[in-house]
Amino acid sequence: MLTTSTDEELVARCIRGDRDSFNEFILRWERPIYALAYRTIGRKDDARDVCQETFLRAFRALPGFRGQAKFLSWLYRITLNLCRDWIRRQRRAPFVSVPEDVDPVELAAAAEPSEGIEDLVARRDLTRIVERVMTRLPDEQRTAIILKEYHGLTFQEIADLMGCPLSTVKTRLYQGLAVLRRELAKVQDAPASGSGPARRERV
Amino acid sequence: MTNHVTCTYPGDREGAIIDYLYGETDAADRNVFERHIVGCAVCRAELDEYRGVQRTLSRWAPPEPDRTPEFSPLLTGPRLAVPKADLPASSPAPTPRFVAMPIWARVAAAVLCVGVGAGAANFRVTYSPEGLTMRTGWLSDAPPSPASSASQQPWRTELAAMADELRREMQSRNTP
Ligand SMILES: [Zn+2]
Repeated sequence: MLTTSTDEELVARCIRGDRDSFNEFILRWERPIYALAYRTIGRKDDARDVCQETFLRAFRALPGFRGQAKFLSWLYRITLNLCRDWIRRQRRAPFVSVPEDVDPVELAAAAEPSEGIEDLVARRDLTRIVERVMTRLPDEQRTAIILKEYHGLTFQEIADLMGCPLSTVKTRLYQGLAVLRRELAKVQDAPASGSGPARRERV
Repeated sequence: MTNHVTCTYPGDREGAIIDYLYGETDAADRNVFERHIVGCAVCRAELDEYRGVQRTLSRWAPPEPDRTPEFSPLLTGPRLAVPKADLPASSPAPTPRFVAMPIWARVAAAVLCVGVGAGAANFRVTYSPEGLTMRTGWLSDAPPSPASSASQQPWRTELAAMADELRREMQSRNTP
């Protein structure tokens, strides 16, 4: 039976090598870690790999965890570093030709079933629309928005995680929201002119 | 018809909007900005639009990861052994020695590392059809030997090798 222990208690038991605690550890944090990885890099399988690698690195680094940050933030930092490595590798990957102005995250999102954004709009597939529009944000803005909107971190926690001043976090959030507002408006205005027979002609 | 009304907020307007939107502001600052937006249609409209963006964002749920049920205690499921040649060039490169191990075995190995790192001694790792078990105090027993099926699953050899390596390391620590 899983008892509800605090993060700190659970971490302490893991450091002592308690096997059940490792399962509890994964159960407790798998979803937020996977969600962070997925929203950051946009690919299910790679997000799962990042998630697994996060746990591995976390387990190995646990003895060095001294409660210097909220534990979840400490995990998020590992995840974000892995995501950043992934994105860099995608940008450098010699066998995949990515035009210079195309972002690998955007490419990844677009590469999963190749559907035009008009189709997503027509189906009101909001989850995919958001996913697509989020890829248009620069990395720092995207990360700030993800950490705030989906993980509820405070400005200060985001600043610590991203290694930037508090004011920069707010700027990134503001600019990110402004881009999203503009991009979502474009998309949401589309069906008015694009629905009906006229839409077919464009395909 | 375009609206030429402009905002006259005297301070850091972007910061104030973000503070207000996310409710991370002290009461005094909040009051100041609240008084401002009562008279400022520009800020009111902008805040409304960002709230709309937030509502839309809330609809984005990540897809469920693919799971393989056999190792359900670790929900992430096993990472299947993939021959190196089959790995696409673009796939992420995890810690190389773990590459072909399922996640639970990799976690087990990581647990061993924690044991070593924390100075805990005498871990025993055994693998059986029931799954993986870890115990302490195995130094008196015979070391676990790689099973005959090791050749079928390369990660088992790796795990066994790693267990041996760690055992040596722990022994050397415990017998100064
Ligand atoms: Zn204003």
